[in-house]
Amino acid sequence: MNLTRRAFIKANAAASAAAVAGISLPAVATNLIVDQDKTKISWEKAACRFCGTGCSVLVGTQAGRVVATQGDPVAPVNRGLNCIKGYFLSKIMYGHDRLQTPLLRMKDGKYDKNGDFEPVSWDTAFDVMAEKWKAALKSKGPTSVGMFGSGQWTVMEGYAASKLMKAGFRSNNIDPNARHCMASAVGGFMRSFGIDEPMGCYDDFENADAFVLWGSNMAEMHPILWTRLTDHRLSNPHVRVHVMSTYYHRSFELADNGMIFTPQSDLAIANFIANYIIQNDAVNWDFVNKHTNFKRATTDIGYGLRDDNPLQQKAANPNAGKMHQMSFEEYKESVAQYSLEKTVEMSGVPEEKLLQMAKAYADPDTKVMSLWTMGMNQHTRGVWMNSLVYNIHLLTGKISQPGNSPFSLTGQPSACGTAREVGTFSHRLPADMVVAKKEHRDIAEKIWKLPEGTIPAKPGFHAVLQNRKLKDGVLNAYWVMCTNNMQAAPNMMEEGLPGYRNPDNFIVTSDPYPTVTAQASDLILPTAMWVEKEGAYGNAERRTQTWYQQVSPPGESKSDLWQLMEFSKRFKMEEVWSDELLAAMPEYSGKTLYDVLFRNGQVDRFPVEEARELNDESHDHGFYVQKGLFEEYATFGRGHAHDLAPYEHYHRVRGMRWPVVDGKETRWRFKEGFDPYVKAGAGFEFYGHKDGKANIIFAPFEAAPEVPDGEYDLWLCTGRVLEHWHSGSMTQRVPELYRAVPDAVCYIHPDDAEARGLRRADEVLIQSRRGEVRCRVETRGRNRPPQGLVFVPWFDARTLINKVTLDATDPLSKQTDFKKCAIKITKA
Amino acid sequence: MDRQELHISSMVVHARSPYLADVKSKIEQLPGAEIHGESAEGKLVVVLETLNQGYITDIIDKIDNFEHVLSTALVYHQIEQLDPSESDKL
Repeated sequence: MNLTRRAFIKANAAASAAAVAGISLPAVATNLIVDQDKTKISWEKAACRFCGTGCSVLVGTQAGRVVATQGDPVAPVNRGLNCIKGYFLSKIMYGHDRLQTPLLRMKDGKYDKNGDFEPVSWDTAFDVMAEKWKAALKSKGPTSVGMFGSGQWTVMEGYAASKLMKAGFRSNNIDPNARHCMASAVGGFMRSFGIDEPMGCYDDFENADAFVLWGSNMAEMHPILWTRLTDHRLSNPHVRVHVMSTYYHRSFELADNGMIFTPQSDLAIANFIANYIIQNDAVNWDFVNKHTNFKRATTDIGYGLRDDNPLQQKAANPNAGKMHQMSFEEYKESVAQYSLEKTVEMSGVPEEKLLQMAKAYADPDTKVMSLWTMGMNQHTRGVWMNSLVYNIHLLTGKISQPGNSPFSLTGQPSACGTAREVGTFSHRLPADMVVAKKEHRDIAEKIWKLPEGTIPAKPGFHAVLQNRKLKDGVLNAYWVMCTNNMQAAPNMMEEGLPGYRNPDNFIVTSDPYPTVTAQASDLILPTAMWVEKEGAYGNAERRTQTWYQQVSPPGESKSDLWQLMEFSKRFKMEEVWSDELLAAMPEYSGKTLYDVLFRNGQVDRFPVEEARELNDESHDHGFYVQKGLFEEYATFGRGHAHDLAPYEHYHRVRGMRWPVVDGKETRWRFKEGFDPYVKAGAGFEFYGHKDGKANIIFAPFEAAPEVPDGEYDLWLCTGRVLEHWHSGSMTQRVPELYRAVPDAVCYIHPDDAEARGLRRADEVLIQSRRGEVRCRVETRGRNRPPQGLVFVPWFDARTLINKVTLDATDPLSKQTDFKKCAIKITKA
Repeated sequence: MDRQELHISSMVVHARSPYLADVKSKIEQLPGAEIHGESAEGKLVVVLETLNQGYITDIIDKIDNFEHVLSTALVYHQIEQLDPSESDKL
């Protein structure tokens, strides 16, 4: 048989799919696969570049280019499968407009804020940049410099950035885009459990009897996890799937109990379920008595708007997060107001549907997995809402056991691993520590070999506040990395754009592509992405995964890590630290930030020979950069319930879930027998709190800041679609994905369209009190809103829906509510 | 100059098992789609061969929307620069 190359590839593709599906193919087909030579492709594992699921993919390179991808068959997360975005990973690096050199706004050969972008060398780029940083530091001090980072940074990049900002420049003004996606989840974890991230893991998908989706559209946003859920549902007929959302979407197709609720009424629904559990004597008293405390939240806390906003001034306790002790009887009385009748009225969900869901939670023999993402986190009461769902699991003791799992899904590949665990937020340090606590700063300063008092105690500006401070001219030297925040942040026309274009400010954006953010900046730095560098990501189930560099980046592109380290060489300690501070460690005099932060005998302790031949950062700096940073970072968490394995171990396995103790990962935290940190005989131990107990926190329904009225008569909800990830800066450059869904459309109920004289595909003007955007309407298709609500995805740079959105945040987490504001629609 | 690209990819299609034959015949009618294996639970191994960019997502979308198809998951994707001198003799 003369088997051609084409037939060979097809047989190979078939065999891979058959193995995943558990199907055997004729022997002749499978025998071909051993002939690696014929494909001439070299394969290595990598974590997927997109969402927080953390699928492992095999990346095939040939002649320095990625030419093939395959779902990793031995990966426990995705078991050989890929979603459509993962499938086109091989193309995200090869968009036609990939940036090749640094670009600076210039006029007459010099930097000019109003100039046009012209190519410059890295030296010139860093010279201009350092000059702006030094000028800001000199005239206004550390709070005038800042950075906006990413849950897509590798662990090492986030760690290096945080260290550079907090220890080097002594500014806490560093915040990740994870503020827009996971801050409320973090707030909920810290208040309920005193330690961040889910107690359960993806193994819960195969162990639950019921699933409840609180607003999440997993079918499109977490397709691989949805496949696991679907498989389990179809092979176990008793399993039930409850899906809640403010509009009908693809996840409803599998739902046994689909529920459309009025925006914001999820607060009432969660309290109703707690009430139902109590009224029907379904409280697990043994668990509640041993392992929980009852608390109530401070109420009337405002909406995280500017302080002079009337809504903010009206609030009795703006931004107050204090919790108060309460008894079970008081708690019972508080949730009693959320009767079935009242909840039906508030939510619009029929009685029998609410009861079906409440019964699943109340039945001691039904193991329930609750799932949520942005619907709950991007919510002006997101922190409360996260805790309200934990309340239900705590009242029934359905937590930290296989299948009993409140599970906060993640949107970004390393929102957990980098943004949260490394602590790149304006108030955080690694391993759940915070800048406001002296003992935490002491620990960080000791590990980093810095004098006492280096890290400022006051939290820096969070994401939304950074844009406000840019606009107000308070924050002047600003670096955006690995994120497209001009497109992603709310209220672009009133805050974001005026901030970037403020003549007092110098804005730098590092990105592989000329995104909306890059184009709004003054300096653009071309950036290596994904397998063009070595890195590590941490997914939603606490799984840390690493990959090696597999190809070289195009042109003069350099990784974020390289950029951070090189930039630090431009600062003498005398230029960034005060004389008093430097006097405490005179041996640092005359050194650079690079010497102090990265050549400290720790980060640089692994020789370059340990690194792969293709590892740009390590060969440029002369030591194994990624390993050194990872190991220094890991010292924060080891022995403190955040233990990571030795770095090289991650290159051999498909990730491990922390805490990793004695070489073993932890699947269910807080449960004796699964979690090595739980004391023998305790049963459960919520060791994030000193007393080992979790908090059941009552919080009431409070209205959204802006609701539809006579003029702005529709709710606007924003979100994603399957084919595109976030702002589309990568997926919009894959021709297949672009072609599948090229433009954002406004999904609207046919009756709402008709009432405005609109027909399908008509162009409309979407207006809010803040801005307007043009878009076409869609009355059919995958998303079907109820009357009174429209859905517009935000991936499309030509339909910038954040011109319209409101910059109201959860007052505790500072995370924006992108799911609710009032708009009107007219024919364009 | 446009280089002709050949895309070869594979996917697992999960259909409701009583309707497997029906789903199979619909997939076989799609140009560029071949069925390479199946299981009693209703899973199919489908291999796609497409010449021009864009068609892959169209085919996947079509299969996804067939009645009784529960899910489609992609497994493998390879891009080949086409060599016109080579022909299939399998």
